[in-house]
Amino acid sequence: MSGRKIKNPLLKRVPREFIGDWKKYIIVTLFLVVMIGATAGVYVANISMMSAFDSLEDDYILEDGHFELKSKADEDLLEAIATGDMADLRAYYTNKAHNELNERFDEEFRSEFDSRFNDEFDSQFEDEFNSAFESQIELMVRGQVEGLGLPEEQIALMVESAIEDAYASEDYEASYNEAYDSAYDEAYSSAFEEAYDEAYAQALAEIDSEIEEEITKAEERYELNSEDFEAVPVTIYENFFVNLDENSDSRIRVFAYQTNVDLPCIHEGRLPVSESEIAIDRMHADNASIKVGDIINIGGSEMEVVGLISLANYTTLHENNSDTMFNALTFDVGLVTDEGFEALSEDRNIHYMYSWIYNTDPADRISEKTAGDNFLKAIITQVAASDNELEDFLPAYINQAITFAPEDVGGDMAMVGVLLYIFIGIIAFIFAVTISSTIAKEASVIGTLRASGYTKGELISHYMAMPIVVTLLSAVIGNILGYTMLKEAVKSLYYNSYSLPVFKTLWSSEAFVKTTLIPLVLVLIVNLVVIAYKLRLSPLKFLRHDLKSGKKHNALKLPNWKFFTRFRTRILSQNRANYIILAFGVIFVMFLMTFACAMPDTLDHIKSTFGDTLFADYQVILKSTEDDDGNIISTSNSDAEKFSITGLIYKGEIDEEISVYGFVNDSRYFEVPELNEGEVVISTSFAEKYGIKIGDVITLEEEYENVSYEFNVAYIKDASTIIGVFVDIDSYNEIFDLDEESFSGFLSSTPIEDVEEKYIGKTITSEDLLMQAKQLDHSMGSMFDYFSYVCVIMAAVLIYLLTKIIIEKNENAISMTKILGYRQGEIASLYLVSTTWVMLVVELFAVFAGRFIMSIVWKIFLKSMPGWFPFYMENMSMVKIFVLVFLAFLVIMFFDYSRIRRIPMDEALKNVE
Amino acid sequence: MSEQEHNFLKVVDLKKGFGSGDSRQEVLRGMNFAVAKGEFCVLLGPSGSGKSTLLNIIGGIDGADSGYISIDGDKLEEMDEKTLTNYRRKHLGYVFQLYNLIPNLTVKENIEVGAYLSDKPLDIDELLVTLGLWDHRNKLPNQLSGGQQQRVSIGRAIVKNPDILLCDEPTGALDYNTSKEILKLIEDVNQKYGNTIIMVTHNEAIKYMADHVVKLRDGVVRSSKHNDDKVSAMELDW
Repeated sequence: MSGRKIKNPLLKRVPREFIGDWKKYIIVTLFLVVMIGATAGVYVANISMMSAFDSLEDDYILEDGHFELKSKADEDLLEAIATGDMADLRAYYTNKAHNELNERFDEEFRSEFDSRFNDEFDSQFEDEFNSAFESQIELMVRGQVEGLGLPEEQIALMVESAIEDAYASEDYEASYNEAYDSAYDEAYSSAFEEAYDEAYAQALAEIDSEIEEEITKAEERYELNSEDFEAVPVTIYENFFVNLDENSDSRIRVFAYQTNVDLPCIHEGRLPVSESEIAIDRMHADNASIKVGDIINIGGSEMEVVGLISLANYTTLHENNSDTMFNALTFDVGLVTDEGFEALSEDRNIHYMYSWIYNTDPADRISEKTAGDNFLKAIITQVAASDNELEDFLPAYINQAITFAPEDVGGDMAMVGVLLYIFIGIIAFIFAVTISSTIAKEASVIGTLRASGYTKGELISHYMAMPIVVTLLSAVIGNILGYTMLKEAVKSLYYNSYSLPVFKTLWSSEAFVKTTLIPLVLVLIVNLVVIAYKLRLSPLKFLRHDLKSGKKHNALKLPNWKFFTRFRTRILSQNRANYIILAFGVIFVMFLMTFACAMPDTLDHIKSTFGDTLFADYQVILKSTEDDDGNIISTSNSDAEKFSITGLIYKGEIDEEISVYGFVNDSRYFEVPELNEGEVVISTSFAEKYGIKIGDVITLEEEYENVSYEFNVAYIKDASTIIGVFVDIDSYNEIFDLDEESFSGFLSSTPIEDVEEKYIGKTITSEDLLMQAKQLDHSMGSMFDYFSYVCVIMAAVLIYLLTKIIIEKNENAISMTKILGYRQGEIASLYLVSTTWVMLVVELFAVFAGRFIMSIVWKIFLKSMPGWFPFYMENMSMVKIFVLVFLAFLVIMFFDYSRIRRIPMDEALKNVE
Repeated sequence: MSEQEHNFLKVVDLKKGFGSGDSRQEVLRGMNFAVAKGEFCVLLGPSGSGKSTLLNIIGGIDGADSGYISIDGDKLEEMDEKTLTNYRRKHLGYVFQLYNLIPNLTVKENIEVGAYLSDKPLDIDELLVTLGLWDHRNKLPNQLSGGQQQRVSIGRAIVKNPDILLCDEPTGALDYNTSKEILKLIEDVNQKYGNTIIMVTHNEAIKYMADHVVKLRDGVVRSSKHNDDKVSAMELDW
């Protein structure tokens, strides 16, 4: 007897099993290694990058937000804004209105009063004076003739004549004037005082009520009376910029280098020290092939590029916050010295941007939003209480140039994670199916072992060993690759799109958990459930190969089909678990392929239809429509026509900026149909994105003012990717309460060159709108092709593994049919044609369902970001997906055919023992 | 031999049927007999006599409808699944007509599969010699003849030195000479290690080598006799 406890000999089966079926396990391992490796690479690179993003705040003093004012703020305003407290608008407006009233009231009242008083007094005085004057003359004449006994008629005639003489005498005028002066002064002073007080009180009351009305509206709109308001003290830094042309094909936003906020990370070279030096964004430089030492043209000045940088507040080059996509191809940011900035901004439109940093860091996202909301109230009231205007307000958490990259990086992690788990799930089921068929094959052994005293648990762990070992091995190799080679690949992928700061690789427990623990747990759970279910039967049932639990079902009744068809149908029904997993895997892979094909198709479609659907190649928006001399700005470009544009906000899933256009009547660029009052035309993109139909009422709001507009949608017209509302310019001016002749700028099919640059606020070219599609293509275009081919390989692997299992499971039957005299071709056709049926049905379903589902996913995805690209997929792409996967299937069928050929005839006999 | 040892394995009024309604078949209809410790007992009967069912119930891999089996005083019916598994693990060895060896383990490893279950397994090398498998110890089952494979399966069963060795038609798939060799081996094991052996067979000749022969027919014990003049396995003839 030996007292030594023996190690479980079943363990020795695991490596032998691996070696015995090495092709299958190597493929599964490779598949897992690639998936886990890629995921680990993404996680490690992304988590390291996220930490680099976090470091922006401290190391590069990233702003908490910025605002732009129409004119440069004075010290008082900046100090007031920095308190983060609201201005007392009521006191300000009341005070201001009262002062204005005081200034103008005296003069206005006096002139109005004087003219009224004088008219009234003059006519009244003359009557009164003349009557007194005539009475006096009459009295005098009657005195003189008293006692003469003259008849009354004669006396009356004498009085009349004396009055006439008196009016004609000089004395009359002298005494009139004397009496007038003295009476006027007396009457004026008493009437004036009384009327003044009354009118002043009335004017004050009117002003106060108007102010009250306006303030109440503003309070409601911005919730200025909210009890939750808390002052958010901030530190404000000047961060002025000018937008200029860079060379002939790009635009650059030039900032003066300062050391307070939004600092640059230097990738190559150095910062500028002289007036003619500039440091520009690394990513754009890379795209535009600009190197350190190159001379580039910035707004007409030759400047030397001395450094390649990334700015903390521009990790993606979003020119406008409403852009769907950043644009590192034709948009750039740069830093110059103060002198350089002065020279470049001379006679140009300076954007008075101020960056702020909260004095107390908000603890989390919610408090950051609260702080932003409170600060907006403060800034709106403070700016309103000064003579300035708020042009832009952008807290960092909604600034795409700051949030896009981290959100994308975070989103990619989530997406890759989900992809990994789906693939691991598929692999786990493949393991489970393989093991199920092994269990069926080894039923007698299992029965014997159980009869000999092996517990169910021991056997479950024995069969679990292989998937666990393979997953663990793959996770180890995958993680090693992920931390080395693949991390670098992922990193370079992001550095090809984003203006990222440099980062250090960090060990991440999260990556470990998500790429090792979770896959292991997934494989463990799926296999545990399936294996425990399979092994739940009694030892006796295993010994008798009676592996179906419960009532035995009768064989499926089939119609009187041909024998081969019935045979194949039986194969399908027998192996349905395998076919279901095969179908699920192939459908999933084909969905991924649909995405990989639809994305470039959509971008190509946008590019190819752009010219037909966009109304004008140039939209020049003027800063002011009057030049310095007060003349209306015009152009001699015969293609140009006036138009109006403004941005309003549509509150959908996000607050989307909608461009409202006013076109001249009979515009050659956009034909606005006859519209009734309140009716508008909207763009197809707008309608598609928000599901708006003709007849719907849409509400658009001013972003920083308490005004909203309601429009009836009368027509929907294609206008490329523009999310817009269109009316004729007269309606436009009426809607926005503008002068009849008002306009914003010019539309033209050719460049407008005769308007001075200082009057131009912004020029939007078709190229700018197209740039988003181009940038997407540039950043991800080549990836899509690779991705398609990776998907084909994945499909091939799945088909290989699952058909292999089906054939192995049916080895006995195949061998038996050989013994019976069936030819190889007939046998292969039995087993391979069944699989081909399944593949055809699955593929057909997957291409159509894939397109449908992807179009929905696409909408959901784009609804969460500004802008719109309508989903488009070529029919040829569907054919391509179908054909590629089917080709992969045919290749695998070739291997399967040779596998069937190799099954020996004694297989059936051998297993009977 | 004490009363307990005399009634080491007791089968008491054991009944078992399969199916329900009209298709119900009573396989065991009230069986009674006892097997003494260390005894070589043969359950003899034609097909359908219920001998394999009886063996499975003794082996704890099937249950009775009524009646009970007790082994060394413990009633199997009172054991839950876990205790039953443990009972099989510690006290039983199983040999089947089909050898049911693990194809990717060697001869020695297949025997280790049995040894693993025991706290006091026999010395495997010594056993390999006893089984006549020493030279084949590193071979895989598919490199062995049927007789050799059955030896391995016997080795796997007895390496854990079980109290009872259950053999279900162990020679059913073997030729005459090999069958005799296997029977000899079982006889040797019985003598050398003193295990109680219960062997199911339909081969009448085998009864001559047994200590105790229980004849079954139609689910009842026709006779239960002790063999006073048993012969060696090698002397059997059929």
